[in-house]
Amino acid sequence: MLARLFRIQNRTAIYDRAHKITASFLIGLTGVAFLAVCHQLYKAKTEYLPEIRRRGKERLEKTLAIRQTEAEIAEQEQNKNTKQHEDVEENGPSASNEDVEFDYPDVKYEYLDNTADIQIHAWGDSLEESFEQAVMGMFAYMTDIDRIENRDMKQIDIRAEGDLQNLLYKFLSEWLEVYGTEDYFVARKVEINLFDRKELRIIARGYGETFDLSRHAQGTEVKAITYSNMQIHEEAPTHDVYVIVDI
Amino acid sequence: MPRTYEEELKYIERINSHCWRIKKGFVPNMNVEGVFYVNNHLEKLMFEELETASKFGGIGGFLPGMKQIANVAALPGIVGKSVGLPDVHSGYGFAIGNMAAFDYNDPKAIVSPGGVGFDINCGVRLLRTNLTEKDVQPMKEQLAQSMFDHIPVGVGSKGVIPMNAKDLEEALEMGMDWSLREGYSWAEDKEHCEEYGRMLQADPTKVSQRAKKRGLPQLGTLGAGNHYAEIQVVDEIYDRFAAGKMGIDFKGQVCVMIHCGSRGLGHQVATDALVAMEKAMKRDQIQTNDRQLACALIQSPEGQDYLKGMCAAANYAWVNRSSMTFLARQAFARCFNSTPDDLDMHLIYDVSHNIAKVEEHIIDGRQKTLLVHRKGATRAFPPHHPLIPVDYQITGQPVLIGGTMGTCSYVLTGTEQGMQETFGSTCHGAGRALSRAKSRRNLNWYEVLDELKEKGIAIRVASPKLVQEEAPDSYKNVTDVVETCHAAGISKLCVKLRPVAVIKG
Repeated sequence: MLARLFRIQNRTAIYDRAHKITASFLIGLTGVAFLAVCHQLYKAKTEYLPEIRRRGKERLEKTLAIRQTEAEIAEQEQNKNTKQHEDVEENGPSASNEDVEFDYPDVKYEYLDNTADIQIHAWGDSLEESFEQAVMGMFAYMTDIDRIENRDMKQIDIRAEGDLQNLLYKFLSEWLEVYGTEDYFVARKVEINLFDRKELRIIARGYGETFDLSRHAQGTEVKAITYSNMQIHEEAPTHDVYVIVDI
Repeated sequence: MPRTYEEELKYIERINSHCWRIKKGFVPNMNVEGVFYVNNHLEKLMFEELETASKFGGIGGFLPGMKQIANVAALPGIVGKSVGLPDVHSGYGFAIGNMAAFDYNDPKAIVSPGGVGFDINCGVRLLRTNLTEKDVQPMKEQLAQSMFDHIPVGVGSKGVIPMNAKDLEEALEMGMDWSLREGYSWAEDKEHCEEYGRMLQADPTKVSQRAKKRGLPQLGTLGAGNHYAEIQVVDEIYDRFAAGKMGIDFKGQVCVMIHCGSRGLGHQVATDALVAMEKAMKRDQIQTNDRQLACALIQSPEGQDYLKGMCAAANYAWVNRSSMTFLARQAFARCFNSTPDDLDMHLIYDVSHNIAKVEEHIIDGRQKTLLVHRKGATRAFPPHHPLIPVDYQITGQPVLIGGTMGTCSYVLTGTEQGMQETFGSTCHGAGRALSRAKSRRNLNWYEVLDELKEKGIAIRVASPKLVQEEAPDSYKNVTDVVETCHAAGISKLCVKLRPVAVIKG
């Protein structure tokens, strides 16, 4: 068979044998090289490639993680900003009052007899003070007001139609609504900043904190304000105000 | 117009041993007469109230119940009589325990949020169990604690039922159907509820955003004031057949009574409506004797809006009570290591005593559509009325009268006479005798609690001050009230229940 390959030249026996050996050596080498290549391909499929892929994934995840935390931080900041904006839009500035010096007002309200509900009698040196004391009296009925700390502030701006009684009703109702909608915010000190009698408008601030079951005592919840036997005595030097609240 | 007490008395006339009439002229513009049901003991309290008011002429005092019944009789469109039930006492605008019906089709007739109350659909529901007192007595404290842990009570409490704004809208529209869909109530509960737990005219869009915001965290809470959840034991059975129909078969059977309303949402709906109606009153020129009697024409947009909003708030209250029923069932199941089904914790009935309903009644032989306001008055329909469940067709609608903390509660049934005289209404509870401020001054909360312990009642309260105000002594005697109803024939005694554990806010 090999003779056919070298048909053209007729060599001597040694050349012949040398050629045979070289040829078979070369073929053998090719076969071994071929097997080696197959083996390497097999190894690559089972070992090297997954390793490469794993390393690549890790690298990718690392970069993604960094990107995600960056995004989260950015989002949080954005949320904070929008929340602040929302709060300010809805209720006016709400801030903690760590640096504010606080002087809680004297108690100028009391509770009077009424069959089913409670009548708050508040007084003060001015009509504004009586209104403020009325709100504080209402909150004091709902919880032990001495345990409320000064952590938050809510501002309200209301207008009423009609007369002073409508104004008082709206003022008290608004604070009750703030309590009901702002996570049970209880105001320990209320301050009226604007009291416009002609336009029947009040802008006021309440300093207090949200009700916390673990720290605050549970009093009686006020359901609503009523016009029942509501009296506002402006002429009197003590500016007495009487209002009945529904329990 | 300060009249003397004697002059006032001329307008009050006794009809029989438990019924008095208030003649026209007691207050100006009365369209119909007033009538109130009292027995000897209760009438003293009523007349005392009138006497106190006549002395002080209205400054620093308040309008007595009788005057308020008469003021209601002066409202336009009223039909029949302005009725004061045995537990009537002075409220705002309408007295509490006052029923007034208005002709729905009369263009001048009015609807008034004061006639419904601030706590829209404040009501009572009663669950039965198959436990006896012997089973419960050793576990009383544990059971009370379990219920107190499951049901949020008191100021600042938040509901445990998961809810978001969309759920709230659906609940406002669908009422108990929503509870059923979410799996909090059983299908049989719906049968045994007034209006089947859902008022169809409800429209959640008529409830303001503020009200929804107030109502969202409070769903499934008991609230404060005179609301409570009690574990009671059957003390006496007066009408064995009717009690049997309700599933109450023997003395010593344990029942659970839950009394609560629509929480902040209802209060806000009523407040918003009052403000809107004040403007409407000026526009439509409706005259009333009392500023608190804010009202609007039924056919006006404000009136219709209020009715739809009120129905939504009523649905909210039913969802609230169903949620608490669910929590109570879980509490019992946990304590007795059983299931609510095995304990046969079925709903006997659910009544509301602060609501306005459109009902058909027969007046002078003709059928009329009336808007019946019941403030502190419970519906009590007679046997064979189409609106009561099939089980109670022969016995009449059960009426649940909650006593006060530590006193007995009663179950009554509606009668035909009640349907005729009071348009199917009866009392709702005890009614207060002492004012809250007086109670706070004269009673000590630990004395009250000791007294209750002596009676063998386990009690869990969120607020000690409330215990003073809600002490049994500051209320009228519920037995008096209920016996008056029975004697007047407007409802019949059926079962008496005695509390063994009380949970209050």
